[in-house]
Amino acid sequence: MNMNKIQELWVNVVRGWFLKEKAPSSKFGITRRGAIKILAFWSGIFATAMAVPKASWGFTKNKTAASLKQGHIPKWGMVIDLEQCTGCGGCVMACAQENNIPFARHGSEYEGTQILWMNLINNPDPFPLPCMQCEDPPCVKVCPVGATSINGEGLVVQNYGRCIGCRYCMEACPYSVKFFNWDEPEWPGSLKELLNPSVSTRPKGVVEKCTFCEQRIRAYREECEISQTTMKDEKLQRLTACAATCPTRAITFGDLNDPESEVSKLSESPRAMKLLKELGTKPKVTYLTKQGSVKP
Amino acid sequence: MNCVLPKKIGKFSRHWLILSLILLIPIGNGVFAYLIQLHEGLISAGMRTIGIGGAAWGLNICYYIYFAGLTFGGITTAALARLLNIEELKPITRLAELLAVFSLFMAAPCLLSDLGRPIDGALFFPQYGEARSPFFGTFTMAAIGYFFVSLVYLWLAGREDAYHCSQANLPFKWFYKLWAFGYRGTQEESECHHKVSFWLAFIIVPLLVTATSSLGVVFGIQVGRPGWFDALQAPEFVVLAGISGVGALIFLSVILRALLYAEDDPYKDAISQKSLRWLSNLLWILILIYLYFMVVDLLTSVYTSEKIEKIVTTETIFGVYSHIFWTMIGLFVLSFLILFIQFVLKHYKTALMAAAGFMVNIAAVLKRFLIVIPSQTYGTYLPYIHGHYSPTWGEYSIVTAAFAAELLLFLIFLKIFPIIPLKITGTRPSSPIKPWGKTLRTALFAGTLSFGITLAVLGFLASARIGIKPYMDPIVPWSPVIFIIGVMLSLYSPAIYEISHFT
Repeated sequence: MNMNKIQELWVNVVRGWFLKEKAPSSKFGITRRGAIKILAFWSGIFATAMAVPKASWGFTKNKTAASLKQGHIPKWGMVIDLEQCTGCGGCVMACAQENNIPFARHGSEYEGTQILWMNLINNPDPFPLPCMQCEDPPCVKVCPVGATSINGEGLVVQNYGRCIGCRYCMEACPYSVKFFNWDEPEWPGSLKELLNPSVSTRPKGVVEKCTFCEQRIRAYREECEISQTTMKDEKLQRLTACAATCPTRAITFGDLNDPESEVSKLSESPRAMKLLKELGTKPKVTYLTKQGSVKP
Repeated sequence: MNCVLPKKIGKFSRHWLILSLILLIPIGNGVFAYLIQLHEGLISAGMRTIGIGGAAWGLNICYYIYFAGLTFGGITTAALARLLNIEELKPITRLAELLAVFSLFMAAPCLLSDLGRPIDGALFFPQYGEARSPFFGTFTMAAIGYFFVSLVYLWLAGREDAYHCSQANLPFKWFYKLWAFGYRGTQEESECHHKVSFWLAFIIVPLLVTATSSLGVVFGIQVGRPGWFDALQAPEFVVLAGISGVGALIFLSVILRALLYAEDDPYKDAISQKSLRWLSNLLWILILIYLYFMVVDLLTSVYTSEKIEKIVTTETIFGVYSHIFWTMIGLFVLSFLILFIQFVLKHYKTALMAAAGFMVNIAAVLKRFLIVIPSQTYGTYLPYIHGHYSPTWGEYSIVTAAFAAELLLFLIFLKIFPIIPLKITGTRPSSPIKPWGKTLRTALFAGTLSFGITLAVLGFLASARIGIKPYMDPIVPWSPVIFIIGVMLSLYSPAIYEISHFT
């Protein structure tokens, strides 16, 4: 039902129930029948609102028509195969370009200010480190203003407009994958024109982090809605910028709630391990490795 | 009924003016440093990202905890003096209340200057504050609760003196009348004040312990930060706050005494050796308790097989922070020995007590640095490079400005209000309260208290997102403000009881 029809219906309801019946007025300016109708109308609205699951009221962020139609809420996850990873740093570069991450600047005062949504740690073999998108994220619990939250699909997202820059989430994150804009981000010369319009740039004084390329998920979902198709796992596997760029296909993205997806199968592999799982954060990034090769 | 006013009240000497102007220099420097920080961002501070070589919290947070600790120490001493009717402490209760109020004034800029977006912080927290965040307790209970309790206490306890000042030939008569708020110095009013003070103290002591614990919880419940995650953080914070507060109170009392002696003030003997002795004995007991906590804590960390926990502790005791650690330990032990030996020998030296009070404050600042920093620079579970943190000129300037501002506030107060409660002699006039007045007073008190508690509970529940998804905004807008107003009204209800004197 489009907006015009809703408007038309509303006008008719108002005309019929308020204006017409108001004429043969009682002392309150409304007839008993009219009052019953109004009561019935609002009771209907209330009952409908109660009957519809709260999840679809619109408060739950990013629950789209497509996912609701299928009755399926995805749980986005990632698998990183460390045996495949060559440490080329392609994922780091792709992530920076996709997500408008400002360039690291030279000078001692800029040391320790780099922003790396996808980090590459050598231990001694390299392992890529995005946000773990925990199911029980410590960063969300500590945020005093709700700037860090979990959306309807389980993604830990950052509301830059809400962030007050207290950096408590950075302290709480055991993976240290949250980054603060210590100063105003800058892009040299014409590089500013190459910024990704789908991703907002962040001002100084706010915390930011990897979002599993939420903008790409959104764009693909919209594409599927337009073409009336469902989201395909083959496409999802390489949807994020890091996964799309990885030359050895070491990074796989997908829906952990879909048992047939590649990411679900890989995360069940005997080589699968979760980083610092003993802390109870329930990370949604799984590493595939030989036992004991990652020693945090 | 008459009383003697302090000699120099209402008289601004040249020395006073010069000292005040000198204090304005570091304050101006701090404001300038903060403006630079606002313009450039926190890059002008020494803090950096954890995991890539830095610590995200630094000196400002250390001093925020320190100032909040002074507040706790100050107001708890004042409350205990009334609760346990400790005569020795009564002359310094106002000093303790002032220490509480002024320190909290200084804690606020330390916290705000640590925010990346301070204006948004001031706007968004009252609107969307999350009760599950440990910062909620810090911002509401510690900041507002402390401040309001201290202010109510200071106001109520000062009404009688304000009344007498308003009767004397002093400038700022309007100020004294406003403070006295209808007080007429009657027997009934005085009795009512003592009753209210006792019950207010009875309520606020556990409340203050809770609020200080909430500061410890900010660190203590972070499972991802070895060195912080510790059940002892909250009680340690309470004891350390007590140490710094009592230490500062001894130091300030000695300075004030010297000042009153220099001016040959009629109140020069008001702060007696007895008062200082009482405080110094309390201080060595607190130091002993804290050293016990610290030993237990360190033993657990060193003995554990948990690798990162051990690294943090080893770096603190033997590594890059060892000079700070051993200085802190040395100062605590030295202060303890000074005070304990005096206690054993029953021979007290004022200068030594002041030195111990000063030293424990230095030690408390160093300890706060050791609580906040090493866990960020060395306490990362993943194999990141170790971090480094050294405060910049800007951070030092802001903190120095806070100290200077606190001193300036003390100086101003010294000239406009009796800092030692006045000695009142003679009989008080009697004006018994009317029978209907008693009922009305009880009703007003009960009404304010119940309304306050209701608001506090509702505000807290809404801030805790009860009944909705945790990531939604509270169903009642500005629910943290409702909670704060509720807490304030509840704490204000005894004041309502006291000022509702219908004769």
